[in-house]
Amino acid sequence: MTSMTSMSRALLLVIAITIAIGSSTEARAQIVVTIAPPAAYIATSQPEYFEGRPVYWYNNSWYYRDHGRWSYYRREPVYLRDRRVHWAPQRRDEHRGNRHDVRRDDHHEDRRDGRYHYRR
Amino acid sequence: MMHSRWNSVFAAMLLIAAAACGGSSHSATEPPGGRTDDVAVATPQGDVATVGAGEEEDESTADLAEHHRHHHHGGFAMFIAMSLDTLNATPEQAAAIAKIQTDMRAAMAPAHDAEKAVLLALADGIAANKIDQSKVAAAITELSTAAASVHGAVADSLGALHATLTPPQRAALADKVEGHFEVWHDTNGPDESAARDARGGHLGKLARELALSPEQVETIRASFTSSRSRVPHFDRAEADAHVKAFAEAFESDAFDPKALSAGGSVNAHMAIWGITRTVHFYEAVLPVLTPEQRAKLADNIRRHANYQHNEIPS
Repeated sequence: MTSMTSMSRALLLVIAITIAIGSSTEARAQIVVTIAPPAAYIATSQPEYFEGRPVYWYNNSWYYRDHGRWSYYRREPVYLRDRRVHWAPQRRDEHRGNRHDVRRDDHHEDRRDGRYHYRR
Repeated sequence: MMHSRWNSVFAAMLLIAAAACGGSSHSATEPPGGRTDDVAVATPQGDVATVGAGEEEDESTADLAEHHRHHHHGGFAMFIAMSLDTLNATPEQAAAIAKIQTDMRAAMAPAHDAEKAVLLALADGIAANKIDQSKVAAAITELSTAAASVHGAVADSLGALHATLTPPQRAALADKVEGHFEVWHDTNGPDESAARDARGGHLGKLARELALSPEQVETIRASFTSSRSRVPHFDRAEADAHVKAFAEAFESDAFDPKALSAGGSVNAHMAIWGITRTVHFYEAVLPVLTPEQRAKLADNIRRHANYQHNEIPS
């Protein structure tokens, strides 16, 4: 009887922990907010083209616009991952805490990342 | 018996736990119909209250804001021409796109020159500690006329561009034009509140460039705020409608730029609003500057005035 009580308590503890882990995972999933790329980023960044539309690499995800709403791929499509292989893995200042892969620009040495730079 | 009951309870609890764990893997926000199955919707930037159209600044976006603070003459045609650099066009398209870009810049040249005259008049006035209002006003009138003619002047180029780009590239161009407009509108907003100083506001940037004291900054802010009633209203709805009309037309198979009838007036309104705001801003700045700060600012404005669409050094 004592061993059964101990076993019951152990089982309850395992169940409680399991539920707690599951619940906290859910809670974490619910509070993740992914922000769409800023307007300036879209204006100045080169897209790739995938599934018949432009897609933009931002904060380590691929974003696209569909009927006015920005969406992103939770898992990187193989084609786009392969495209990124061709980019220079150049270190830059962190943007929102994440490293960007940026494009190698073969045409304009001064435009190191292929994005816009205002010269005057 | 006891074991059997415990097994049932245990199994039920595990099911509940498994459901709790598994329920987090997909949200209800996934868009329907995507061919790639693991996608999610992102929160719009509009919900984030920062400067630069919801920007955290990096070098490129800061450069873009700086451009849009001082150059308004081409309106949407300028946004289109600027967007051509980052379309990721194919090598086969490069020559055609370069020609279109050159032609568009030539078409915008009269407006560019008119804006340059305004900026140079401002720079001269700042250097002399007295802005020639009549000279500035005359130059703004010239700019208004020139900006209104830009849309018609680039119509053929826009037609050629539509024929050159693929449908996804046309969609990208529409994205970029909207992005440019958001940045331009945010950068040239009527507000220079303290909240913007550290996050892309013009006054904050100027304070860093000229080493303005806190007292100078607040005097400028108060003066600029009081001048807002003298700045003509900018009709955002008119511009938004033009952005939408352009995107819909340009992304369709048949595109007639001349059918975008509001293009000329929208460009003119943008140019007038933008340059008038610029003038009022520097008028608010001038009285508090030291001679050294005036000289530095005048030089800075002259460099903006003399820029020649040279984002890409030749």
